[in-house]
Amino acid sequence: MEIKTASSFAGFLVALATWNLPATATMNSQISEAASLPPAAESTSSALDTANTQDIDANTNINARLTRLTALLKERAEHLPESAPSSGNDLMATWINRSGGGGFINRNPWRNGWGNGWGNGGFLNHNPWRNGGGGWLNRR
Amino acid sequence: MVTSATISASTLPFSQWGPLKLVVIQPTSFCNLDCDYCYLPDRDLKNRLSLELIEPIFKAIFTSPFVEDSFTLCWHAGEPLAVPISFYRSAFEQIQAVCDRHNPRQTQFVHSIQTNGTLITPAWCDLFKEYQVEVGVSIDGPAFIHDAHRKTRDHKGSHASTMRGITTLQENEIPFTVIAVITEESLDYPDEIFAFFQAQGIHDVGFNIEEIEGVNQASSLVKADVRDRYRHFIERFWQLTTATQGNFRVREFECLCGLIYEDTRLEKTEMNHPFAILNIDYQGNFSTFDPELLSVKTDRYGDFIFGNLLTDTLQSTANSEKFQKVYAEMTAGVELCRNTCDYFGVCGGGAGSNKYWENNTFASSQTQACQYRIQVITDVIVETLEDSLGINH
Repeated sequence: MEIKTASSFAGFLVALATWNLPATATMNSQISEAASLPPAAESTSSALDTANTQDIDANTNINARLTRLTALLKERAEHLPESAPSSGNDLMATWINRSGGGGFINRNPWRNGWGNGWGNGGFLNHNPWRNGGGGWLNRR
Repeated sequence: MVTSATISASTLPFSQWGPLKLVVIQPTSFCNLDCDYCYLPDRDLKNRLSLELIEPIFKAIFTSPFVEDSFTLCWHAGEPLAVPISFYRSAFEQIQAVCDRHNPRQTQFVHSIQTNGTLITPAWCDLFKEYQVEVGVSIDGPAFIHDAHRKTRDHKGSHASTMRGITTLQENEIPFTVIAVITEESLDYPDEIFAFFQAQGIHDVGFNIEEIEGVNQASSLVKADVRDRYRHFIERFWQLTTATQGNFRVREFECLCGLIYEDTRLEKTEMNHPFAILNIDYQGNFSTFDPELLSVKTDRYGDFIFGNLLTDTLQSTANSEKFQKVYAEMTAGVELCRNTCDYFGVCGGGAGSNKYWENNTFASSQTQACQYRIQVITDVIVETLEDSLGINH
């Protein structure tokens, strides 16, 4: 018998990072392109504003790079549609269609509070003891 | 720098300690296997926890100031299935009875075991189901990798026996996670290890790296070129894992991606924060911090037994000279990490046992263990996500 697991943070973030943003979303935020550009004063994206203000050390400081990733990925998640597209060959489309049913919203953790469903957060849940006994996933 | 002289009993920050999230209890020090990287010193001795100690131990836990809403009770520090099923039936019933009588905060708990899997039978599965025991199995991958280190006491490989146990779990629909130890032998075979787990229906894996710890005084990962090979291993495993779109999870990847998702940073860990973890040996002796400290003796600190739950409360032992020395140096080490390491926010200051065995003191920072467990994995994930987003780094 094969025991199925729930979805993963890693899988979702990679799907989101490699997702081909719809044209309208790209026009609105230009997230992927601007992420590698110098700060744009006229940018309307709060995520980019945050990310760009950290450009001074974002290429060397792990903390700043993590913050920039969070901002950009979260901004991308804002553009996820409510239901799965009928076609698409990127990871996000596969991610959406994989489980079948339930609607696309269920695969967007920022939207439906996936994180809260995994526990209450906090430091204890993020760095489990390496021999943590059964159910280390449940200790998050 | 914090020193033991700067901390007096009256200023110990009890209210900031805990909450207790993990109790590791040793049903026996014995293990039927003799893995060559194991840190436990007395795994050939058949010491066993007396059922008579269950009530006083758990009364002390449930009435301590450090328990809050819930904790996991992990039966480990020896092979937990080396004691009879009847032991656990009695122990579980006693613990529930103590919980019913002495549980002022209505604290919940869940049983878990970390086992080598070789002794699992359908009868064990009945126990796991009846008491909703969370099960973790230690298996390092396919037989040629696993059997290189995880051997029986007559020096034979244990892979076939572990797989029999895993099959029994699956036939009885018992969910389980896996911990796989990464040694030098693993590094050239990420595809084979991944394919093995996939083929066996194993989807939740935590990687432990071979550590210098306890009676294991050497690690195959110390050699000169190994860090680059380890990085390539992690890079490849990340590719394989994320290509499954969430069907396969690696604990280390999930932890880091969880921090990115929540934009959260760590200030400490269970292993360096007092009474987040409570470790109890078969005699009722207890320790806190990293569970790997429970059964070892060191030149610098002696042993790490802070008291015995038959006679001492958790908080009373915090006044001891031994506890205060360990606490002060543990705290100093975390502060050193905070002030000197770029990765502190995704690490929280590491594990004292790694610091002691590699640097000879808790009051130190970087270890090989944290480079492998934290830094390399963070570098791989951050760089990969940045590349996907078109960010220059």
